[in-house]
Amino acid sequence: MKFLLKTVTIFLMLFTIVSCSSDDVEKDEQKPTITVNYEGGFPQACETLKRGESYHFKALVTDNMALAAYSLDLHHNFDHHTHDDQGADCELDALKEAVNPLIYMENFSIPDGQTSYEIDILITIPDDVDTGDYHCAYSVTDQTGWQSRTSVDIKIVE
Amino acid sequence: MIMKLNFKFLAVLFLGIIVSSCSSDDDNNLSNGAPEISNFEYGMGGSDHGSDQYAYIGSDIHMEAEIYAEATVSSIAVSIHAHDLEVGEGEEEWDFEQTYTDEKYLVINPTFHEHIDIPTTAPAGEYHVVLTVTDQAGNSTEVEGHLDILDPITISDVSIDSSVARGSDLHAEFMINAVNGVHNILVDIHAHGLTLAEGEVEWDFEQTYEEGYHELTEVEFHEHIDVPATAPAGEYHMSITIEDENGNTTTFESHIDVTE
Repeated sequence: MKFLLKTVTIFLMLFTIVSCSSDDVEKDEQKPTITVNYEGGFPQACETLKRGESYHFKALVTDNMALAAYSLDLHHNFDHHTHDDQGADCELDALKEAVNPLIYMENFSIPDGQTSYEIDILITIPDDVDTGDYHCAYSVTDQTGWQSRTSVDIKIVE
Repeated sequence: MIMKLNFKFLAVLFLGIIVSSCSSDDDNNLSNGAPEISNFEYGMGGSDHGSDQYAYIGSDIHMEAEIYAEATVSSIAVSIHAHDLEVGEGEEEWDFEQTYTDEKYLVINPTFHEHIDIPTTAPAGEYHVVLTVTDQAGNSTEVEGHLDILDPITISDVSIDSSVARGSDLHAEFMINAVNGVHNILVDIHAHGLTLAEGEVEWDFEQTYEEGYHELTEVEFHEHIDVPATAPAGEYHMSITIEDENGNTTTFESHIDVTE
């Protein structure tokens, strides 16, 4: 009887520990960060880019645990929609219809669960794209699935 | 006997511990519920970009929402449809269904942002908008609302003579609201199968009006059209077509009795 009691007790204790082990895993409540506001960050708000030139698009991303992926999205703002978050008011050209706007949308993964990373994407602005106002939108995702975004108003000129 | 009591006591005690020690897990499961959708806005695209819940035929609907899905978003679906809208000539029922699974949305906290084109053939009227977010655990949340799809050109306060004596003038007046600006107005007046008496000449009127209307978004059409004294009397058919700067057109018709 005593033996049985001990066995049951140990079994129950084990069960208690096992059943709650998932509690011990730290839950990631933090979003990654993303910024172009450092020396080398590109583009800065209201930056002017020339057709035919190549540019390194650079942003710094960090996460408390592990970064997973980032994306860069360049699209025209000929209709003056807004999602710049740089707080700068860039002078916009007149409203216009898009003919052959630059559209760039790529996803990249960040290897090895790094906690900080500098995005560096080389893009050549084609000679034949519409000039005018554009948005440059970065996003970053951590391994938990949190996302952060930043968007910069830029202009493409001749 | 004592042993047996102890055993029971211990068993109950441990059961209690098990239950209480895991209660926090249960809380987590509770909060790990369906996705949350906030700041859902849709309506006019372009510079307005506001949450006005209307949009024009031939333009686009801007749609935006903040999403929080602890279990990570797996898809976002948009449905726009109308119930029993009258489908006019040259129009086609518009029933929009699309599921977005772009990588940028498959995260815990995406911002949904899309521009949805309204075909030029969509009938104007009230539509029903549904946004459904599904997470990777299979939970889904839905928000819905109403959207007014408006004709970019509307006509009101129409006053056109229904009867006119030949040799005098026909008075035509109406209000035009064209959000994209008026391009021009084409007036066509003709009759079918009227017999010409001696001295009469078939009257087929066609004129494009632009001056005084071009590029205006709100303007009163007001013209006097001379009916020649030689026009045969009878019933005439009048058709007025307004074209806006984006190429949308609207046509309305009227009948005129030309008297002797």
